[in-house]
Amino acid sequence: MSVALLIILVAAAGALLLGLAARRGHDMDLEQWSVGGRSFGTLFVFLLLAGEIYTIFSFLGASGFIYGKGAGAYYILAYLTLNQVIGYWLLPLVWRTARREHLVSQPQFFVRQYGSKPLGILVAVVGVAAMIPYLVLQFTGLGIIVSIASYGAISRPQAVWMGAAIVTTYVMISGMRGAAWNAVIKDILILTIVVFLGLYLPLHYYGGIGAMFQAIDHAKPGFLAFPARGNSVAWFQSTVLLNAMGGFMYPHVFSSIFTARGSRILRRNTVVMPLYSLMLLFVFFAGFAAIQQVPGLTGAAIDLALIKLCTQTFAPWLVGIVGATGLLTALVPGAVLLTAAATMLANDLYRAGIRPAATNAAVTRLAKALVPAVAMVAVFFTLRGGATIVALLLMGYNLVTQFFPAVAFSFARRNPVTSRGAFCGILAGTVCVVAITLTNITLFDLLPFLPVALRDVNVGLAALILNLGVTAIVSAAASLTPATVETQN
Amino acid sequence: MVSLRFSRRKLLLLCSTLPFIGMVGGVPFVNRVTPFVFGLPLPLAWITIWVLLTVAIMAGVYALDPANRGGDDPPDQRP
Repeated sequence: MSVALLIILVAAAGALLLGLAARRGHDMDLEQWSVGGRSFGTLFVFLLLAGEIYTIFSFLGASGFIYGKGAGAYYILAYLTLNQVIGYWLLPLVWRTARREHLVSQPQFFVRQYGSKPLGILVAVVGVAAMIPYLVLQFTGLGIIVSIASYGAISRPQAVWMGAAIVTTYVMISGMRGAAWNAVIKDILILTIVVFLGLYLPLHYYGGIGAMFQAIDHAKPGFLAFPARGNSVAWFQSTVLLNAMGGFMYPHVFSSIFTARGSRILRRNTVVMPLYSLMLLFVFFAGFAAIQQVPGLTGAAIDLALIKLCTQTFAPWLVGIVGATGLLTALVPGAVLLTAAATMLANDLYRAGIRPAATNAAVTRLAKALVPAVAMVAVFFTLRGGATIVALLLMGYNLVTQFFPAVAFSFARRNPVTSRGAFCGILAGTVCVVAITLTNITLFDLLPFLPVALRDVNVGLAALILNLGVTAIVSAAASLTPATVETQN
Repeated sequence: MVSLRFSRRKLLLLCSTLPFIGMVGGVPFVNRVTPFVFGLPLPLAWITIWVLLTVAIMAGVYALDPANRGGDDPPDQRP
C-alpha cells in the first residue's frame, strides 16, 4: 500500500469518527439534527457558511476553469464578495424570522412569509432539484481527487462509493453537528494546502507569480483578460450579479443561517468573509501554473489540471495529503447538502404535502432514512458523468436564484408580491432554466436582434426577468380582484 | 430618534452599493492584460483591490450600523 493511499484512508476514517463523535451529549430531535439546535457561535457559523467558499468546487473547479478558460474564472472571487454584501442586509432578517417561527428549512420560510402551503412545496421541489447537481459536483470532485492522488489504487467509482458511505453514515447519526466538526479540520487543511500550492507551484515552475503571468501572457496573448466572445465582460457582469443574488438561496446555505445563535454573528461574518474568499487567488495561481505544465486537457478533463500537476510535482506523501484534503473538502458540503435535502423531503414534502398529522419524531426518522436514498441518487448521476464542475454549479445557481425576488420582497413593509405571484414567478423561472439547460440555448438564440455586446449575457438572467415579470403580473391581477385577495402574513 | 436611525441605515445601505459599482461596473474599463499590478493581470488586480475595499467599506458600515449597538437580539415577544 502506498503512502498516499494510507494517508487518504486514515483521513477517511478520521472524518467518520469525528462526525460520529459530534453527536455526543445531544438528543437528535429535528431541530438539533437539521440546524444544530440554533446554538452555533461565530466559529461554527463562519465555517459552515465559509464551507460554501471552499467546497471541492473552489479546489478543482476554479483551478480547472482558470486552466481551461482563463479570465472567466475571476467571476468566482467577485460574486463571493458581493454575495456577502447582500448577506449583511438579508441574513439578519431571515434569521429573525427563522427563530421567531422555529423554522428548520427554507420551504417553511416561504410558507410562513406568504401563508401558502403550495408555495412551500414548490420551493422544496426546486430546492432539492438544485441540490442534486451540487451534490453530484462534490462526489465528482471527490472521485477525481482520490483516484488520482492514490495513483489509481482507488478507482473513481470506488472513491465515490466510499465518500458517499462515510458521509451518509455520519449525517444519519449527527446531522449538522457532524458537518460542523469536520468543517473545522477541513478548513485548516485546505487553507494550508491552497496557500502552499498557490505560492510554491508558480515559484517552482516559473520563478514567481509575476514571472508566471508574463510567461502565460507571452504564450497565450489575451488569455488573462476577458475575451470579446464567450466568457466576456457581459458574461462576467451578469453571472456575478446572478450568483451574488443566488448565493444564500441554496436551501442548505439558507438553513446554515438558522444555526446561528444571534444575528450580529451573521453580520460580522459577512464583513470578514471576503478576506477569506481572497484565498481563492492562490487556487487561481495554481490553476495558471498548470497551463504550461500539464497541457492538453480539454472538456470535462480540465478539472484534473490541479491534481495532475500535484502528482507530477510532489512526493507521494504530499500527494496523499492533497488527496485527503480533497476528500474532506467534498465530505463537509456533502453532509450539509444531504442534511438539508433529507429535511426538506421529510418535513416539507411528506409532512406538508402528504401527511400533516406526522409527529416531529416520525419526520426526523424519515429524514434520517432518506439520507442514503438521496446519496444514492447523487452517486448514480455522478457515475454517469459528463459535465464539468463549473457547468453543474452554474445550473444549480440559476435554479435557486429564482427564489431571490420572493425572499427579498417578503421583508418589504407592504409586500407587493402575493403568494400566487411568487408561486407562478418561481415556476416560470424554473421551467425557463430547465428548458435552457436541456436545449443548451444562449441568449442570442432567443433574441437574435441583441447587440453583440449583450450576446454572452448569462441566460439565467432571462429566467430571472421572466420570473419577475410573471410575479408582477400575477400579483397585480390578484390585488385587482378582491375575491382572490389572500390573507398575508 | 426613530426617523434619524432609519435614515442612517438607508445611507449605509447606499454605501453598500459601492462594491457593486466598482467591481461589476468598473471591469469594462480595465479589461486588458497589462499593465501588471503587483504582478497580477489588470482585471484580476482590479477585482482583488475591490475585495479589499469591500471589506473596508463593510467594516465601516458595521461600525456605524445602529443595529450592532446595545445587547444582541432581544428575546422575541411571542411565546
